[in-house]
Amino acid sequence: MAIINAQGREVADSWTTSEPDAAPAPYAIIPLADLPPAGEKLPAPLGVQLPPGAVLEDIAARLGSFALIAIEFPKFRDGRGFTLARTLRQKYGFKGEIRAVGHVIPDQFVALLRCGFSTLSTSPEHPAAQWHLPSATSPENPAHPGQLLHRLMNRGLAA
Amino acid sequence: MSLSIISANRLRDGRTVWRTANGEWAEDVQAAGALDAQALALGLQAAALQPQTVVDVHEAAVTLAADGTPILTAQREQIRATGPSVRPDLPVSTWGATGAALPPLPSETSTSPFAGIYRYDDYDRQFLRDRAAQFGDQAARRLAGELSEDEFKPLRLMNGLYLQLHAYMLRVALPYGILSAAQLRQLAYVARHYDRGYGHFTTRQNIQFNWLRLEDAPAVLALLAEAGIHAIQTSGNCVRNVTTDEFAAAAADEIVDPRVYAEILRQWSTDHPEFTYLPRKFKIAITGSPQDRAAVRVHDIGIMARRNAQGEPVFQIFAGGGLGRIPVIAVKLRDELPVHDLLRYVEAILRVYNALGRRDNIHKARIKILIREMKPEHFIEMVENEFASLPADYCVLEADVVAAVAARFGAPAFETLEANPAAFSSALKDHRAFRAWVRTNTHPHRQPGYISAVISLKTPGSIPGDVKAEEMDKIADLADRFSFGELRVTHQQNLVLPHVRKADLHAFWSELVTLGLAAGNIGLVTDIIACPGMDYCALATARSIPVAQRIAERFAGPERQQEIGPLDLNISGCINACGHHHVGHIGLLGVDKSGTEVYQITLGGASDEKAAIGTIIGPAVPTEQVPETVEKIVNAYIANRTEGETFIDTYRRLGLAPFKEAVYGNH
Ligand code: HEM
Ligand code: SF4
Repeated sequence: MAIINAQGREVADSWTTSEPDAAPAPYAIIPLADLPPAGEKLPAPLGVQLPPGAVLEDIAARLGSFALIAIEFPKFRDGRGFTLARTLRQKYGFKGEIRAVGHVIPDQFVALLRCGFSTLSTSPEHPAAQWHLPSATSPENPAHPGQLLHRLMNRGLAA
Repeated sequence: MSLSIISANRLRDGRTVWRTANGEWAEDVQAAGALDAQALALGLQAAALQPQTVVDVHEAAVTLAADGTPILTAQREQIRATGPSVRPDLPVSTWGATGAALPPLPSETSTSPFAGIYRYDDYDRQFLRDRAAQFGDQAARRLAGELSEDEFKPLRLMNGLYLQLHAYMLRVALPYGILSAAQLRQLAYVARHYDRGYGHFTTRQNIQFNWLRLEDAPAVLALLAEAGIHAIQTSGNCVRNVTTDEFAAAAADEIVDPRVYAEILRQWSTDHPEFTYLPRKFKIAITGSPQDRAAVRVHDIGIMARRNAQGEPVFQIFAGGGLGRIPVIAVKLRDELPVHDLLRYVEAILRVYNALGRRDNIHKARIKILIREMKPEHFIEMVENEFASLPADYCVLEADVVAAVAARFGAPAFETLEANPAAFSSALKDHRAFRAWVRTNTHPHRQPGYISAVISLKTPGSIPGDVKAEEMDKIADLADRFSFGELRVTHQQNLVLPHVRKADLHAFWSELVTLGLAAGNIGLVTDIIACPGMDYCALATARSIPVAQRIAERFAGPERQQEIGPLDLNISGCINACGHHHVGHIGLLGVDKSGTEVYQITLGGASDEKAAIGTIIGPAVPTEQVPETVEKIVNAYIANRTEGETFIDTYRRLGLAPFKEAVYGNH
C-alpha cells in the first residue's frame, strides 16, 4: 500500500516485506521472528518488523543494523506500538525510519508522529487522501509548542 | 415458541427504536413485529446492513398480550421502552433542539468573578474549539460512513460520549472537581436546551447529561468550550479526569495544593501521544493533605502529599488500586518521591502498563491485574528501571514550572477577618437546625473567618447527584454571592462552596433552606453514593436509585441520622462498582438473580487512610427488604457501640458476627 511521510504526503518506497523464510536481501523488511541469529552477516540496508509485544531489550544490541523498523498495529486500539516507537527513540536513540503498519487511523496521525514514527503504510479503508496534518495554526499541529506545561518544559516530550 | 422483537438505538440521536414487520424502525414499541427464531435471524441480518441508521442492534424477548401486542420480558428492555422508572415525569419521547433560535450563551454576558479555576490562555481556548470542531468532523464522517462504528466509538468515547439505554450520554469533565459559577450556568444551559432539564454529578467529579443527541454533541462541546469546559478523556482507555480533594486550596490541613499537580497531570495526559490507547481506562487521584479525601488507594495511581524528615513536601505513590469486579487496595511504590520527579515517575508506570497490560481480556486489562499477575515486587522493579532509564532532563517538574502553573489559579481576594465573628456564634446559638447543618456540612478553612460549606445533593427522596437546570442557576448565584464564584464537586456527589465568610454562613444556609437544598446530612446515612443503575445505564443489572431513595426516606429524620453518626452507604447497580460499594461502610450491590433484583450487602469497606474492601455479610436480600435490612444493621451497631464509637469502628472491633446475627438470626 501507499506510504505516507510525516507531512502526510505519499512517497516512493523501495522497501519490500520479506516472505517467510526468504533469505535477507537489501531493502527487505524481515519479521522479527525470522531474523537470523546475532553475529550473522546481514545485507544492508535492512528492515525489521516488530509485533506489538516485541521486547526491545532482546534486540537492543542489534538495532544499529537496521535502517528501518516497522511496528505492527493489529488493531488501532492496541497502543503498544506507540510505546515501542517512543522507547526506540528515547531510550535506544534509534535514528532510522520507524514505520507504522497494520490498522492505524488518520485520527492517530499526530500521535504517531509525536511518538517518533516517520512513515506509515496506508490501508484500503484509510487511503492516502485521508491523511493530513492539522493546519499550521492549529493547536493540534505537532509543530505547535502546546499547552503551558509543554511550553515550559519545551514540550519536554520530544522523542 | 419463544418470540422476540428487534431493538436498537438510532445512530443520529440515540433514541430507542423498534423494528416493525416491514423492516422500518419505529419509535413506539407497540409497532414492533414479534418474530420467531427464523424470522429473528433474518431480521437481525437485515438490520446489520444498516450501520448508518442504527447502532446496538439486539433482540429482546417478548410474550404476546391478548390483543397481540408484544410485552417485553426483561426489565432493562421495559425501561428502554418507557423511560427511567424513577422519572415518571420524563417518559421516553423525542426531545432536544427544536430548531428555534436559542438565547445567548451565559458565557457571553457573564459578570461572575473569576473563580479559582485554572485560567486558560488563547492556546487553550483555541484547543477546545478545535477539539469540538474535530469531533464534529468525526461525527460527520461516521454519519457519512467514512468511519465504522468500531472506529468511531473510541473517538466519541474520548470525547465523553457514551451510548446508554435511552440516548447518548455526555460526560463532561470538571477538572479535579473545580468549577466556576459561570461554568455552572453554561452547564445549566446545556441541560435546558439540549437535554431534558437536568444533569447528574458523579463520584468522579464529573457531570453527566443523560439525553444527548449525537447530532447535537458537537454544538454542545463547542458551547462548553466557550466557558472553558470540555469532555476530553472522560471515557475511553486513556488517562481520565484526575480527581482530588474537594477542599483543595482551602483545607486547614493541606501540605501542597493538589490542584496544581492535578492540572499538571491534566496537561501532561491530554492527548498524550503514547498513552491514549492503553489496555484500559486509567484513573489518577491526588490528595494534598495527610487525610485522604480522594480515595487514592482505590485508583490506578494514587498520589498523597506528606512531609519528609527535612520538612519538605514529597509524594507517596500508590498504584494498582481499583474497584470493579475485582476490588483491590493499591500497593505502595514510593514513600518519598521528590516533587520534581512526579511526572517522570507516573510516565514510567504508564509505560510499563502500556507495554505489558493485558489486552486479551477486558476484565483483566486494568493495571491492578498486571501488578497482581507479575507480583508487586517485580512490577515495582520494572517501573524503577524504566524511571532510571529516562533521560535526565526529561519531564522534570522544576520549581519554576510548578510556580508558573500555580500562578494560573487566581487566588481569591480573602479579607482579613476575625476568626470567630460574633454574628456566627450567635446564629449557632440561636438556630438549632443551622447548628446541626454546620456540624455536618462544613469544613475548616485555612483562612481565618472563612469556612467551606457543602450543599447536599441528597435531600431524602431525591436522586443522588441529580440537579435541575434551575437549581444550577440558583446555586451559581449563591456561589457568586458567597464564595468568589467558585464551586467544587465532591466524590460523594455533592457540591461545595469553598470560601464562605463565617459571618455570612447563616444567610447562605437560609438561602439553601428556601431552595430545599439544606439537608444537613453530609457523611451521614442518607448521604448515599449511588450510580445511575438500570434506570439509565446500559451495563446495569439492577436499579440503584430507587433503593437509595427508599433507604433515605426510612432514615430521613434528622435526629435519627445524628444519632447514628458518620456512616458511608454506597450503592452500585452492577459489579462495575461505579457507586464504590466495595468501600462503603455499608455497601450494596444490585444483582440479577434469575430475573429478580436482589442486593448483596458488604460491611467494613473504607476509602480513607484505612482503605479496605468490604466483606459480604451473607446471602443477597430481595430489593424490597433492603431498607429494613440496613435498619437492622444500624440497630445492631447502636446496640453494640461504646461511647462515641462510629459505625466503622464498631465494625472493626467486633467484625461481622453481630451484624450477621441481626440480619439473618432467628428473631
Ligand atoms: C452510566 C454510564 C457508565 C458506564 C457505562 C460505566 C462503566 C463502568 C465500568 C465498565 C467500570 C468498571 C471498569 C473496570 O473494572 O475496568 C466502571 C467503574 C467505575 N465507574 Fe463507571 N460507568 C458509568 C457511570 C458512572 C458514574 C455515573 C460514575 C460516578 C457516579 C462512575 C464512576 C465509576 C467509578 C468510580 C468506577 C470505579 C473505578 C474502578 O474500577 O477502579 N461511572 N464504570
Ligand atoms: S455500577 Fe454498573 S450500573 Fe452502575 S453506573 Fe456503573 S456500570 Fe452502570
